[in-house]
Amino acid sequence: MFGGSISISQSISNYFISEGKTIIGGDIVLSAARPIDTEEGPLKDLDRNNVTIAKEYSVQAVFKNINSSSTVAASIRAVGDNFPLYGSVVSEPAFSLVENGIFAEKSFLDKINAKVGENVLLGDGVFRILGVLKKEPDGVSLGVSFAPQVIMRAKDFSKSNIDLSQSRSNYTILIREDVQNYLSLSSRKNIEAFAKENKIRYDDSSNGPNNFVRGLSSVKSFVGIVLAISLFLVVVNIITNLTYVLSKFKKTIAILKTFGATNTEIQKIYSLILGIIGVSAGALGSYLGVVASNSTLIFISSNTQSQINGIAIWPTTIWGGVICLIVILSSALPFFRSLDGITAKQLLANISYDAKTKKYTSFLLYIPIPLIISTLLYILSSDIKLVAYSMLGLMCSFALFMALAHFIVRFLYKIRNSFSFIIRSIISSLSWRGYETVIVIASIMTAFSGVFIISAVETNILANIRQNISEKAPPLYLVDITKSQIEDVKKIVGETFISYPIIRGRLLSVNNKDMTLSSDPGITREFNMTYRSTLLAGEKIVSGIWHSDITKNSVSIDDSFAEDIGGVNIGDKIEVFIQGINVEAVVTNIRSADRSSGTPFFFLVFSPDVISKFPASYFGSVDVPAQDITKIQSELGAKYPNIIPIETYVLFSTVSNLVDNVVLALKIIGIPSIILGLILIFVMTGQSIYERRSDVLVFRAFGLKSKSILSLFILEIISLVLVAGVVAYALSHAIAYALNRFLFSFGTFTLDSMPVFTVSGIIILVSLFAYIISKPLTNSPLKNLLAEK
Amino acid sequence: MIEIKNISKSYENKEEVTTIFNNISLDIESGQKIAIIGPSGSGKSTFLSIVAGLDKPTTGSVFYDGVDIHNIPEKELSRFRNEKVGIIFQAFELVQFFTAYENVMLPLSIRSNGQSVKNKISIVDGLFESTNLSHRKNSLPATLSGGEQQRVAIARVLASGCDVIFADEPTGNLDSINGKKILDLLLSFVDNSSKTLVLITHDMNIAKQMDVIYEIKDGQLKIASHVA
Repeated sequence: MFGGSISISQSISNYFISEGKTIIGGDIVLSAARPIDTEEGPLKDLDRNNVTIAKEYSVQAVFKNINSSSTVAASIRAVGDNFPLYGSVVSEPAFSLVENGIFAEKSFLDKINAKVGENVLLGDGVFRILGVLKKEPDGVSLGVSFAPQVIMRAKDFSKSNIDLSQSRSNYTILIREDVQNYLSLSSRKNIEAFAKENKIRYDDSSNGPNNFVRGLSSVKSFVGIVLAISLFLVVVNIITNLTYVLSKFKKTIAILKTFGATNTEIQKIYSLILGIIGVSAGALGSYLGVVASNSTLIFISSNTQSQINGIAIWPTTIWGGVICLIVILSSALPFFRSLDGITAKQLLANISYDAKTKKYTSFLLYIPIPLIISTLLYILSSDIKLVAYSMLGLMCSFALFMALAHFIVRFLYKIRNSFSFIIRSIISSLSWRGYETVIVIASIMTAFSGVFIISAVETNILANIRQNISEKAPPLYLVDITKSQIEDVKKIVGETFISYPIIRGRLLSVNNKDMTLSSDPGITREFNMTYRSTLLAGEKIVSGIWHSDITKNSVSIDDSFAEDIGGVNIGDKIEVFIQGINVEAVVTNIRSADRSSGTPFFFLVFSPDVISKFPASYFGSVDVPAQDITKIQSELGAKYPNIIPIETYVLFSTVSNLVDNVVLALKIIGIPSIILGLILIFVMTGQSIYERRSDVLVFRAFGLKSKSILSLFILEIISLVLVAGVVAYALSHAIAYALNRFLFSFGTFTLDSMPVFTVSGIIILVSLFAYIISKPLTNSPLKNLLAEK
Repeated sequence: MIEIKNISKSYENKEEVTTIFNNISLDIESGQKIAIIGPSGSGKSTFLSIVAGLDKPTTGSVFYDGVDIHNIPEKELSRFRNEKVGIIFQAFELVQFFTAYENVMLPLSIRSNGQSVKNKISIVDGLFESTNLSHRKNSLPATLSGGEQQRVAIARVLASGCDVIFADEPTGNLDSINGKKILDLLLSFVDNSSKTLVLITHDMNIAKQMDVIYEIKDGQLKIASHVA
C-alpha cells in the first residue's frame, strides 16, 4: 500500500509539474469576472516578440436545434486566434476550429438531438458541430459539470448577439513565453502583484494549477491519514502476533534458556527471523504496490489522454524493504523486552500473561512507532502540519478508544454474573486478556469510525438537501437573465417568477481590516451580491434595522457570514470590490435566512443606492407544474439563449452524484484500515483459540457440549466486532448530529444504514472464520487434547 | 459400580500398530479407593481417560450402573461427565480467565438441571470454607500458589456432586509438604462422602493410602497389593 500510494502521488505530482504549462494553458494565466486589459501594468511592457498572449472568455448560454424545439444549456469557451498556446483539442473526428464551427461534448449532442455536421442555433448565430469534444488542451476534468462544454471562436460568438456585459462571464489571459526564461522570476512577481492588486486570479505553470495542486494535496493528505491508521494497525498486528509467537514458542524459548542461551542470543535469533520476514514482506509488498499503481496509471493516462508516467520500481522496492524492516523491529521492541522479564520456569509453567509480563508495556518502547509512522507520512505528504495533526489526532483518538474499550470491558466484567454461562465466559476471557482485547477493539473502532463518520455525514447532507429541495424549492431556476429581459420572461413563465439581481465582487475590508489577507479562501473568493429594499419571507433581522427604500449606503450581512469574518457590529464599515471599483457601505442590520427555502441566498444584501448602478445579471425562480417546464425551456431557449434554465432535480442529482462519488472514493480509501482491523481480530482469535486448548479440555471434561464451546468462540469474536461497531456507529452519528446542528444548520437528522450492513457483513465474515478455525478444536477427540498435556 | 470389560487401546500409524494395553477387565465398587501405578508410558493416564469417558477404548466396554458410556450419544456423554465423574489433573487445569470461585462453580454453571442459584452458591461457599480458600475466592488462578490451585481443582470436582473422582497424579506438580496436604484433603472429602476414587500415582506412599493398588505393566493390569 505504501509503495502504491507513493507511486501514484509522486507520479501525479510529477505530471502536474512537468505538464504544468499544458494543464493551465500557458506559462502564466490571469482570470477575472471582467475583461482584463493587456495594455495595463506589467502586461503592456511584455515584448510581444518574446511572448504570445491569448485571450478567451467563458459564458453559459442555450443552444437550440435548428429543426426542432430541443435546447441545451452549454458552458461556452470562446477562444482567440492563438488558442491553444499549449497542447491541442482532441475531437472526434479530428478537426481544426473553423469559422462558425463548434466542438461540443457528447452530452450536448444527446440533449439537443443533433449529430456531428449538423447546424445549431445560438441567439442570432448558426453554428456547425465540427466534432465531439473529447479533451480540451488544458482540461483535467473532475467529471462533474452542470452543463456540457462547447469550444468556439470568440469572434464567432459575437454573431449570437448575446450581451456579455449582462451575463456571468469569465475572462482569461494566457501568456506563453516564446523565448526561454523571458518571463523571469521578477517579471512573474510583478504580474502576480498586478493581479493581486486588481483582484485577478493568477496561475503560474511553475506551481502547477492551484486547484489541482490543492486537490492533490488534499487527496494525498487523506491517503496519508488512512496510511497512518493502516500502519498503526499493522504495528498493533505485529505486536499481537509476537505475543502469539511468545505463547506458541514459549517452551522452545524456555528450553533455550534452560540450556544457557542468553536473552541477547534469543533476541538475535528472533531479530534475524523478523528481519528476514520484514525485508521480504516490505520489498514484495512495495514491488507489487508499485507495479499495480504503475499499471493503474497507464489506464488513467489512456482514459484522460494524459502522459502520466509511473515511478521507478526497484528503488521503491528497496525502500519498502528497509522501511518494513525498521517498522517490524521497532514493533518487536516490547517483545524483546518481554524476553528479559520472563524466566524459563514461567514459560514452562504456561504463564505468559502474569502481572509481571504485562509490565513490559513500558511506554518508552512504543515511542519509535509513532516516529516511524510520522516519517512515512511526511515522505508521502511533505506536510509537517498534516503529520503533526494527524498523528496527534490518531494517538488521541486511539487513546480515547482504548479508554472506552477498557471501560466497556471492565463494566461488563462487573456485571458478568447477570449473564448466562457462555456470555460470562466470553466477558471473563476478554477481560482477562486485558490490553490485548482493548487494543483490538480500539483498532477496529478506529477503522470503523473513519468510514462510518464519512458515511453518516454524507447521508445527512443528502437527506437534508433532498428534503429541502423536494419540499420547498421551486422546480425551475433561470440564470443569467438580463435586466431588459425581465418583463418578457415574466410573461413567458408566469406570475410565479421572482428575480434577484446578482453582482459579483470581493470583500476588501471590514472596518479597514484588510480581508484580502485572510487565509480562508471562503472569504477571499468572489461573492454573488445583491441589492433590494424588501425583506424576503423566511429572513429575520437578528440585530439592527432592515434598510427600507429611504435608507442609504446600507448593507445587510448574513449572521453566519458575520461570524466567519470574525464578527461584525451594526455601524461597521464594509468595503467591497466590484468591477474595478471600491464600494463602501455601513452595516445596518444582521440577518438570518432560511437556507432551506430554495430561494437564492446572499451573504451581503445592499440598499439599492449602493450597487444598483453596476451592470447585473438576474437570477430567477419559477414555481410551475412539472409538465410546463419543458415548454418554458424551449420557448426561453429560442428567444433568450443567454438564459440558462436549471431544473431543481437535475441540480440535486448532480450534487448527489458529486457527493456520492467523492464519498465513495473516501470510503474505498478507508477500506484497508478496516481490513487490517479485521486481520487483527483474526490473529487474536486464532491466538486465543490456540491458547485455550486446555480450557476446551476442562470445559468438555466437566460436561460442556462441543456445540456450546463452538458458539462460545464464535460469540467471542462477534462481541469484539459488535462492541467496536456499536461505539463507532454512535460516535459517527454524534458527529453527524453535531455537524447538522452547529455547522450546516440542518433540521433533519437521519440514521445511516450503511454501518449496520457493514457491521452485519463483517460479523458474518468473522463468524465464519471463527467457525472454521475453532471447529477442529471443539470437535477434536478429548484424547488429542489430553495427549497435548 | 463401574464394570470395565476387556478394554484394549492401541494406536495405529502407517508403519505399525502400538498397543498400550490389552484386554483389561476390572470391577470398581462404589466408595472404593483404588490406586493405579506403573512405569511412565505404561498407559495409566490413557486407562483413566477411557474409564472417565474422555477417551474411547479400541475394544471393550465401560459400564456405569449397567450403562455402557462409550455407546451413548455425545450429548448424554457430556451430561455423564458433568454429573457422574470428576477429574483432577496433575497440572490443575483451572480456567485462567475465571476466578477461583468461578472455577469451582464451573460444573454447576454448565449443568442445566434447574438447581437454584442459591443452592449452587451455598454448595460452592461451603467448599471454599472446607478448603480454607475463602480469602482467595476472587483471585485469578495465575495469582494462586500450586497448592491453592489444586485445592480449587479438588473443590471444583466436589462441587459437581459426582459419584466417582479420577485423579491423575494430583500431587505431581507440588512439593512433598503441599502434596501431602492436598492428598489428605482429597481423602478426607472422599471418605466423608463415600465417593469412589481412582487415583494414578508414581508414589507408593500415596498408593498405600488406597484400598487396592493396581499396576499396569506390559499392557496388563494386575493387583499390586490389597491395603489393609
